[in-house]
Amino acid sequence: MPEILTYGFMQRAFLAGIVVAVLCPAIGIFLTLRRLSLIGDTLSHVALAGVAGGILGGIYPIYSALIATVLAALAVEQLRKTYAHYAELSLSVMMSFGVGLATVLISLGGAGAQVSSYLFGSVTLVTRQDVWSIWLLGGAILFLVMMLYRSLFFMAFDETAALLAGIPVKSINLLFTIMVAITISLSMRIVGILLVSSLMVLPVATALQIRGSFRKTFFFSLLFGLLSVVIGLTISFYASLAPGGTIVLTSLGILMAVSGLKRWI
Amino acid sequence: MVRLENISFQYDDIPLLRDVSLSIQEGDFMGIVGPNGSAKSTLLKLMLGLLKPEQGQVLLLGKPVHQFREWRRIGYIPQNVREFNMGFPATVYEMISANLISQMGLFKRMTPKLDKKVREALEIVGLSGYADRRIGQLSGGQQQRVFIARTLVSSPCIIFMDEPLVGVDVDSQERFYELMETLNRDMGITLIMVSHDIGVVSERTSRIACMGRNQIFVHDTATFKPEQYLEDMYGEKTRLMHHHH
Repeated sequence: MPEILTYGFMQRAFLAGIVVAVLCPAIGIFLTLRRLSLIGDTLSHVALAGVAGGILGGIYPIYSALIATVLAALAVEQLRKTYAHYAELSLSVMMSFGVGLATVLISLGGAGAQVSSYLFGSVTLVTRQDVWSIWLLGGAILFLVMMLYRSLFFMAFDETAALLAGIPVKSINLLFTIMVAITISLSMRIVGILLVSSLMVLPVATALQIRGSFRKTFFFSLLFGLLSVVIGLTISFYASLAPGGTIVLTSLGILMAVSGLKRWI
Repeated sequence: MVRLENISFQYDDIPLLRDVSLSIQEGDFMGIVGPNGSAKSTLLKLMLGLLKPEQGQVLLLGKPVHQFREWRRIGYIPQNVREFNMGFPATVYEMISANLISQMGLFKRMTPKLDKKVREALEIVGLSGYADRRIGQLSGGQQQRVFIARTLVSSPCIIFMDEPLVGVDVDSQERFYELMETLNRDMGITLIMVSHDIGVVSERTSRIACMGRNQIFVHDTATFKPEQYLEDMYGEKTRLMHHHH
């Protein structure tokens, strides 16, 4: 066994990491194609408030973040109706709320150190409970993505036509927003709140460069996500770097390598 | 096929339709024409239940549109050609098979039977060799035919089109109308098309609905004269003026 896998905390980091690695781009591809990449950022800032609240109230932070992001996701859907002509305004409003609330909650008590482990990700602190939550909920979301794959694809391309093809667009939109919220809550332990949305977008951006079918783009998004996390975690272990940042920089490196290769070939 | 009964509709307090009735029969090729802002697209959306009228009711295949569930019998071709994301990662085959979603099982897998439907639809629109092309690699006219194939794949009995020819070159327009004739005459599909091009519509469709002054005036194409259009639009006294320079 390579040295890196003899450590219990690295085993847990990899176990949790590979689920997050495919989960983020699997959700991110639909966000990107619908030009909603910003929603990842918004909900992750609300997750921060959830984490801070959870630590203060003695609740398992992934669950409190989960509740906060799901509520925020539902609120964004409502706000979107109010500001129908300024879609991104509802996201800005919610992001401000998230950051504001988080700052106040953090300043209330000694949660600072713990919060920062969620803010930047901290694989050394991944617990057995984290791994279980990520596998169970992450597995459930991946299963849902597989079931809704074609509907989400159709809706990303043309929502009106999807509606007329008999797809329950409203319910799927709502369900999908909740799936985004859960994905963010699960991923923050590994890459950190500040970088979750990068892992949702970068592998997809790389896969889009390949210019293949949707199926191929989807497959490559997941593959690039997986590579980013596995390579990033390994580098961060041997070079003693922050894992979240290393993962995202690896992802960026893959993006540039693929762009370069494309020009060269 | 479609009946509008005493429909009134306003948008932001501006009345667009006032007590309008319209009936579209099986086998019609109905062109809906009118100046900008005459609520042509609105009319289409009302027929499809995407908008709700203030008064009156819409019957689609004999059912009130808000209770209508047999969407696979309805085809819809949007204005997409001009606002289309050319980088969207999807092949022609993927685009078309998406419309079979209501006929797929729980996991939405393609079956040989559904695959055959996609191939047939591609053949009708003359794009058999293009199944694996990315949609962004096609010309505007070809993309338009992909949208038609996407509609045909679910064997609709009626197809709604919203300005399908905006941004499509003249040769492709000709091909488009030939295809429409095949669908209408040979396959018996009822067609409803919104267009701003009164000249072409009056040559190709079987009936014309002129929209103006919050009303709809329906004519048979065979007896329709362009002067009638102006009369419908602007009232009785308008005449077609010829400018001499």
